[in-house]
Amino acid sequence: MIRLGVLIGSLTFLGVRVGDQAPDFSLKNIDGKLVSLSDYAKEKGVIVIFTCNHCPYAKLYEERIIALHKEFAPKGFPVVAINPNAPEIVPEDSYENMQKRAKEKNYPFPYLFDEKQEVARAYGATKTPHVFLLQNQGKAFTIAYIGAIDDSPNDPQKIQKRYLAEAIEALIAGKPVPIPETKAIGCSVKYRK
Amino acid sequence: MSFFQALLLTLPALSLSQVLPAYHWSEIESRMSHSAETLYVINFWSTWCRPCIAELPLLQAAYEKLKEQIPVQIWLISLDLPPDGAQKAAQLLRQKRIYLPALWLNESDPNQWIPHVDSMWDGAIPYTRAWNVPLRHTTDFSSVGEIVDFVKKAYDTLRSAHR
Repeated sequence: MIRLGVLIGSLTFLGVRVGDQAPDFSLKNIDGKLVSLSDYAKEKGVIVIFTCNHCPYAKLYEERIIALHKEFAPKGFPVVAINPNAPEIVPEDSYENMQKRAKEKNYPFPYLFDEKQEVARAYGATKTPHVFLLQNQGKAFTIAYIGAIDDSPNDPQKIQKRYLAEAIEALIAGKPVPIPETKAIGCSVKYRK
Repeated sequence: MSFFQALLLTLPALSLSQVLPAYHWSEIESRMSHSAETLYVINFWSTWCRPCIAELPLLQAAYEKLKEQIPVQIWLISLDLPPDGAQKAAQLLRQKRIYLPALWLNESDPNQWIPHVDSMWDGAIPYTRAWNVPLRHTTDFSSVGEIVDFVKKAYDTLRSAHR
């Protein structure tokens, strides 16, 4: 994590907030090709998920992220997964291991490597998984939702609130996102210090 | 014996047990709010969080340094996943010879309990806060001295608030 030191009162704010313009990115996918936010100009939005290989919480959500992409890509909201971790801190999150995991799981979405960690810092990703829902406003994307995928990380059978899905459905219906920010537990992003 | 007395008696030996006891956040909160003299410092951690594990011995050492000077309790709250998280966490604490009071958080939806801990906390761990004092540390501590300073500062703030 970024060293914030001891803070009294409010937290120093890093990254984006709901309503902000989404930072652009251009990162290497597991197939070696670059994927940019501008490639999605024809979509209604993008589900950006910072995730990784090693984190137990990320693993719990692998299948659910695939299902989200299959559900919402046809409706104009595809998933873009980004691994922000420094592989020298967590070898399991190396580019080669990302390729392996994507192949094993047959990821239907890009799995990008944020090698310089600049994109994660720009968004303010603090953990994996960490969701940023982007809405296409025509000339730029804005942040519509930040936080968790749903309310039951441990057990998909016990989900009562699909926070992310509800946010996307609101955007599709042209309504305000009911809960634009949620808390999520996850593994801290392994930033270089 | 009241619930609070029972909890007070059992807590110091908890990390020696095979399984950490499960508590809801509301139970932890009411226990901490019970005593105005004691400073409670709570550390959220997990066996799957590497920086959390690295700071456990530092927390233990800081407590050893502070316990004669300040009425402080440092509690370790495990966020390990069910079904076996409470066992895994207890096992790791035994291996690492960490004897701080430890418990397992029996909650599922972070949006239900995190706002009660700290509305500014986004859920990334490690995370440490001093109870009843607006003092938090949102990343891992890098030294025993850093934790000692954090606790001393929290205790000074707590005392000046009660003066």
